[in-house]
Amino acid sequence: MAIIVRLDVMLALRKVRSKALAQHIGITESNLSLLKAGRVRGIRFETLNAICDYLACQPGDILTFEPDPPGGETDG
Amino acid sequence: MTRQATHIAHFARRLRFTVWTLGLLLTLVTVAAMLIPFPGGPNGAYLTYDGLPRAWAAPVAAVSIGLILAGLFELGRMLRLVEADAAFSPRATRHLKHFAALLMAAILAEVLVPPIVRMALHSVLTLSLDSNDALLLLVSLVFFLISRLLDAAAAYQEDSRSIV
Repeated sequence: MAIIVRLDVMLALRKVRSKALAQHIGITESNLSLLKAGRVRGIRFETLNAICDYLACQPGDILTFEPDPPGGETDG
Repeated sequence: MTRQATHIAHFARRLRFTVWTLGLLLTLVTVAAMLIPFPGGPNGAYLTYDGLPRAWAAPVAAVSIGLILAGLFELGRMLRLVEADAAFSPRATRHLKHFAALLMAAILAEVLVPPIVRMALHSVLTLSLDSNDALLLLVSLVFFLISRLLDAAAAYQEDSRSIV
């Protein structure tokens, strides 16, 4: 997957627990866990805004783009 | 459950009770018409099946009402799922499809069975379709379309759930 979720890194850097963040942004811990693992189809701007607000960071600190290696798509 | 979902659940609950009441009334009227052949006045329940002999009218009515009751039962089960906030579940869609199919079968039975019986008895084939039957056939087809739309809505809901 080209979009990498780095939320766990930001949580560690800010020394914030997942539970506290989940409560602040108003989603369940299980959904936050899915988001951290990158197992979601998308993230709402509302959620992203709340995360950035709580962790005092930019969207780019949470989401990064890594291009697939050349020919990687034909392997599967 | 959101406020809108709560309103929908309450509406579904009221509708379900209406469906059960309607089913009960249909059953009572049909049974009364079968058990009391000639009420002896304008008041009472009558079996009217296009001049069919009573021996035939009663079973034809029983089949038709049986199909309608089965359809109402399926509709009631679907409404129960709507109350439980599972309107877009595969089970709800399946119940709606069953309701539509049973409704269509009941209408077709009302339209087709009397002419078939008359043809068997008198060797005369007369087929009639009134506007009520035509409209109900159309409504049952619309219910099939709605069940397809529910399938599509279920896919959208699944998509929505995977967006946090």
